[in-house]
Amino acid sequence: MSEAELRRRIRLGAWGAAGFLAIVLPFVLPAYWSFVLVSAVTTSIVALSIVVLTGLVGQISLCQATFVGFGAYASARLTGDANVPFLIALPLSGLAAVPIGLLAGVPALRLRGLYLAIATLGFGAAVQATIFGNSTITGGISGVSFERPKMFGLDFAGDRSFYFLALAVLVLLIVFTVNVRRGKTGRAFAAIRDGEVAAAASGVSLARYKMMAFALSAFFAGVGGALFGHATLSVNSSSFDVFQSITFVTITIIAGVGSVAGALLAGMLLNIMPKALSGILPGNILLVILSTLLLVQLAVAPEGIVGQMRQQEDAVVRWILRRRGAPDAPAPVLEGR
Amino acid sequence: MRSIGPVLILGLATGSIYALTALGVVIVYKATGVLNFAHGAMGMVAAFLFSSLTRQAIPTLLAAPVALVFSAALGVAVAYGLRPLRRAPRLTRAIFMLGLLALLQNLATAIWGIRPRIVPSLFPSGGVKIIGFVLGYDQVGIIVITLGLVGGLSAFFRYTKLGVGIRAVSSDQDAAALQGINVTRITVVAWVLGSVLAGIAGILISTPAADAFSLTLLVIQAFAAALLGRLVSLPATFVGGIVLGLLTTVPASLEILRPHAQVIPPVVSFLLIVGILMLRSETSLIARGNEA
Repeated sequence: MSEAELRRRIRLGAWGAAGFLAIVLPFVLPAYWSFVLVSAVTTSIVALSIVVLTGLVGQISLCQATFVGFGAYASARLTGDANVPFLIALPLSGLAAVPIGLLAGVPALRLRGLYLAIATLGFGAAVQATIFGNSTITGGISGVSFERPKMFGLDFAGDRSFYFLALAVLVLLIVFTVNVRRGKTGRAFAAIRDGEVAAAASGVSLARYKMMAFALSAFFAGVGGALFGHATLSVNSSSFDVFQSITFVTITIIAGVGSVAGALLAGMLLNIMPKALSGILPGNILLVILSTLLLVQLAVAPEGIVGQMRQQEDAVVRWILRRRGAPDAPAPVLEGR
Repeated sequence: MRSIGPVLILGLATGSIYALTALGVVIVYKATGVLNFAHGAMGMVAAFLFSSLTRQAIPTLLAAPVALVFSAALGVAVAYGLRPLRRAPRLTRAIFMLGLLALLQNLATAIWGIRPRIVPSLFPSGGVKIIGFVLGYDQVGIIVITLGLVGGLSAFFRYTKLGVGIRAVSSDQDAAALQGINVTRITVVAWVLGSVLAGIAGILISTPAADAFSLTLLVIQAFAAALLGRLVSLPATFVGGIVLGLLTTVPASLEILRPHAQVIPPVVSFLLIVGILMLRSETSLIARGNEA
């Protein structure tokens, strides 16, 4: 078996195991866990929006929660006030976040890295103050409420059934992301990420693809926000503040912003880990310990946990190939770090 | 609209708060290349510690130095925490600071809860009357201390060996190391300085009461002021803070905008940040060292 084939099988096995767990866990775990799993899925969708923007295109946004908020409020209005069916309201909520994503992306036409981070942070704070904090628009502290959808004769009121609905959306978005990455757009994205000057010299329109990236990312985040709203049943003025944006970005980078797997891991780190450990320590102390551990993890592996796992995979592949004495086994390479 | 005099005085007082907060951001960025997103959060922890100490009947003039010793220790911890990332891109180190912001926020919530805390003033109550407007002694204190820090720190960077060392490390780490400068020590000193400045700012501006979220988010206004000072010059940062103070208080005094006074600082800061960054030629901001 060649090295490529071996790697393909390892990946397939990992994804198979993940898919198996995603389907089996809600039936095995106690009922209250279903809501934790729903939260993990909606967080993963938001994290996926960051993977698209930062992992694929190399742009940074510290206002991702703003896009999430627009999606959530749009869905509340559409399903609540206008009685639009959930399945139609969901993509529309994503689209509702696109104009705000394009607006937030305008500074990216001239700014990169640190400066784009400051600009988007300021954008998020300004929108929080003017729109989310404005009680006539968003209902302020009391917020707006959502209902779980009913469709095709199915009732998604329960956490478990809503989990599978959210999971289906996540899978669709993952498939979409992978397709974008493989296509012409994905190659342009990668070119911009790896060097803007070289990309522009090769005829890639920086403005067009950067705007496309922000639009796509805002769409994903908006869909995630709509699902988040229908999952938690109510959102308020502080649901989408700057601190949420900061949490989303740091957790996604710690998990691994370069890959879809990183987005899934981010959802688990933020929701499943605190819940799993909640019996051991009081919640707020646990949160302090977990955020300390995550900070240490970032310092040790800025490439993310998934990046670390890739190195482990390399080691396993080499070990298997060496044991089999395969002719195409690569010479052992000394790790740089 | 009220008469312009008091509005300008208020703008000066507010602006010196922004300037004071921005000083530490500029010093850390100058010395280490790290944009400290957690600057507000670091000041917040010092202010709340100060508040808790004074509740134990410890006099304010003793509690403040104790809280600042904690700030210094936090600075040392951050310097060593960042050590593994010293060759990482600037953005990665900024993300580390965002993680620290979240950690400090969680820490503050665990210890002090989420409600605003009463933070006593270091200055006597009352104030001086300037053109019909009473400027509290604490506001006068902030202006004087900020100006003193700008002067003192500028002299420190110019005339002391340590200050020149920090500048050497900031312009070229490797060359500084080859000249026999201990880069690690300089980095630690810069972080202690930055963290203590955050603590001073936090303690002074939190009176009479402050909540963790707004103190943490003050970093956005500090960035705007620091960017007006091009992230390098301390006197220019002071002027930047005052300009931002005036830009936020003057519109807030207009009759039509008064109901939205809360909204003005973040919006003005955002417009200023984007304006400065977009209008400035990119090279003048990123000429210094490796950018990411």
